[in-house]
Amino acid sequence: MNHDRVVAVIAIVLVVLIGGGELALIVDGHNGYSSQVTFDQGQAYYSLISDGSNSYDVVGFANGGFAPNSGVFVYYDDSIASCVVSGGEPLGSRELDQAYYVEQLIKNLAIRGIKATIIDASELMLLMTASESTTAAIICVSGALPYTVYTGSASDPIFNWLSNGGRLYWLGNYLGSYSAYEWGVSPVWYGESLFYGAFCLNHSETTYANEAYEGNSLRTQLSVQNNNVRYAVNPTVLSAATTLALGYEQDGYVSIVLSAFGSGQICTFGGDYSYAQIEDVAQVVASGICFCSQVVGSVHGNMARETVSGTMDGTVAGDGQFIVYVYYGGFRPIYGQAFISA
Amino acid sequence: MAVRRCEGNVGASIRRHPLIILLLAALLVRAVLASFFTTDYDNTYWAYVISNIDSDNGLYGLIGYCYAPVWGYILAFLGEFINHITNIVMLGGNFPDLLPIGEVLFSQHLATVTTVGFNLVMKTPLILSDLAVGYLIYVVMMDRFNDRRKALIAMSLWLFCPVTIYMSSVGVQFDTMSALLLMLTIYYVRRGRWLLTGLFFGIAALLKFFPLFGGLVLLAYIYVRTRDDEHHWQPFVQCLGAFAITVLLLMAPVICCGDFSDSIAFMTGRSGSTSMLFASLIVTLVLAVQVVATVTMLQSSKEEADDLLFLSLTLTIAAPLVLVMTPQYLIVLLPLWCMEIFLCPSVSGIALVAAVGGSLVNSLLTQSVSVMVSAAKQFGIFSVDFIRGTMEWLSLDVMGRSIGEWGYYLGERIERIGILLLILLCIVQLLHYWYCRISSSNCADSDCDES
Repeated sequence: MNHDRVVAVIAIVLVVLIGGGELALIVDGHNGYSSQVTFDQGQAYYSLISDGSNSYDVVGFANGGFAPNSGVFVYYDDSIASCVVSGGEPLGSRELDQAYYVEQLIKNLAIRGIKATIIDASELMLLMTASESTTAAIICVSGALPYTVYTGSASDPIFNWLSNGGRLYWLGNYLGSYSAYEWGVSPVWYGESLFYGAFCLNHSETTYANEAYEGNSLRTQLSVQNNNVRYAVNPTVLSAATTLALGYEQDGYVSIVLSAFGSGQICTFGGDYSYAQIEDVAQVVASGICFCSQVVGSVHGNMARETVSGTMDGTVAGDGQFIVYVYYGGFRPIYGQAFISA
Repeated sequence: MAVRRCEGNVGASIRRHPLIILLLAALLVRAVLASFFTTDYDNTYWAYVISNIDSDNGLYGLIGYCYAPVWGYILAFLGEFINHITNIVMLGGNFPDLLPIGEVLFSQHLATVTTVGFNLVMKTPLILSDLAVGYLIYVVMMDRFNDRRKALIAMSLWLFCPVTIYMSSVGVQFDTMSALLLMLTIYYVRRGRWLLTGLFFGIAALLKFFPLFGGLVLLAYIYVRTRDDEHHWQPFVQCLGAFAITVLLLMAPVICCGDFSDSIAFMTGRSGSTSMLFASLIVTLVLAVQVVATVTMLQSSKEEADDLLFLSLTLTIAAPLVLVMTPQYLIVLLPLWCMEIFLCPSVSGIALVAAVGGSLVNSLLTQSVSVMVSAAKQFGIFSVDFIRGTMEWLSLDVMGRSIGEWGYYLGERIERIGILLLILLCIVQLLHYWYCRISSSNCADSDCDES
């Protein structure tokens, strides 16, 4: 046996493996993913295209008269105090603090076809008081709302904005419990009742849920992962007609709860910062589900370098909003897009 | 009669082609283990990294990858392979009945499992790398001693070392590739192929940082080998040039994207987890062995340099391992250890058993039965209740620590003792070299008892 030749082959294979991978990252780091959905007489005709080998999910929602988000904004202001617990992700990686969380969230939203804009405390106030942006979605990851919109009074701008159709996506701490200023945060006693009309947040020691929420199948349909129920809502305390829960449950607290507030909505995510939570926020926002969503159909499958087509019956949506959310990659989505009937 | 003839044939085959038989046996063991057992945490993260690349966020854009880029390039290649050649889907789903394992035993277990197909795609290059390292050990040992028995023993020690088998076939750890690159560097430097030495040492340095600690010794070896040549600077230019170009080519995408700090985050993150006093002691040890090994190499003759190369590399790469002790880091040192086992088999063997044993106890108790999760969910051959029950039992408190934590604690210390013993042995060998040199005595045939 010519050992020199064998070693040369080993060396070449190794160089090709590494060089090929580097080249793939530079030249063709991603695969071609796209999707199309057309609506006709209550039917959704979808066509999914993938150059790679992936799982896909198509989920249809009837949202009734609840209009889709008119824009997505992420509140982040490093001049105002926050009240969150940073996450510890894989050993050695960067600490998941608020700035990094926002950066990762925006990238995750972009994967799902959502262009989000960062706004500071004064822009948040302007947005909440401007009449044309009532159905905007605001994601607040600071754990404390800034004093520009919330001081603990029922007459604060945020309540008017929510009543008129605003959508608040909340995480990081107990909603309503703190008002944030430049110098720090001020506790607001009983603040959660201003948002939920009741005391429903998890103040117990319970942190991780070990059960799936069985009220619906949205956990698997949207590939929800985060099972941390700290700060989470107990949906049974709220009106069932205006509340939708999904994800994981422990002692009655559910990791994701959407609840109505006037014409608007509050979506509460449980847990401290984690990447699983970021993905869940991105999924929920991008999918367009709301407290009154009804699942009209869902399809899950695998595809490899092919186009998959199908039909989803959305006649149950009637004249209301019919949303079809498509995503690839299962519990680590690599592509997503929501389509809304005209 | 027929059975006896068959046994005779097998025996004859083993005697005729021991190299191939041993490689096939090593492959078989790994193939069986790889099909059923997989570390959940690491392999799921490799799937996440490939997904991140697929979503057009590169290696460092989304959370998941925090190493130097070379392993990321390999993941990108495997991702392309999965996407363009296979029908494999990486993630096999998220299972609520597995949620409790996320809270027990170091909280590093996931309810999201990878598919068996993905597990095998990930493990195949690592298993092949194990075999390639074994083969290179054989070739280098034959070249060094021209003794087939020694070469086969060294190769077998590597191929059938439980830690080697576990890390590639179950742990999906890429340290075996680091060992392979180091072996290629040793192979080519001994052959005087300076460009290839620089190339593979450059890649090795950016896959895992440990081989980098052997850099000075390699340069000293090249100097000794070529100092009498007319153009003795040429090998340095070739080797360092190839090294620099390789590093530049591999790091260029990272630097261009502004991800340099992310690419070294893992190293800084892990070293920061050690106490300052202990870190200072080990840094002193690392610097001391660098100086001693390099100076000794520079003083040696061409003939001595070959033996000193193995000894010095073992010493300089072993020293930093004492600082950051995780079970898989041992892998990069093991090929050198297996080749140096004949220096003083009794001491070296005891040290090896301690290091391997500690590493294995650490791995088996920290990962425990979580390695059955993927197969439990996809083949249904292991019960989730059994997995959960066992992991909860390992989390039971015994004198202030869980059983799993005791495994980690004791395993780490036993492994460290083994490596320290090896370092001591190498230092004794170097002192012996200096003693022979100063006293001008003929120590060529000395064994470890004399030293």
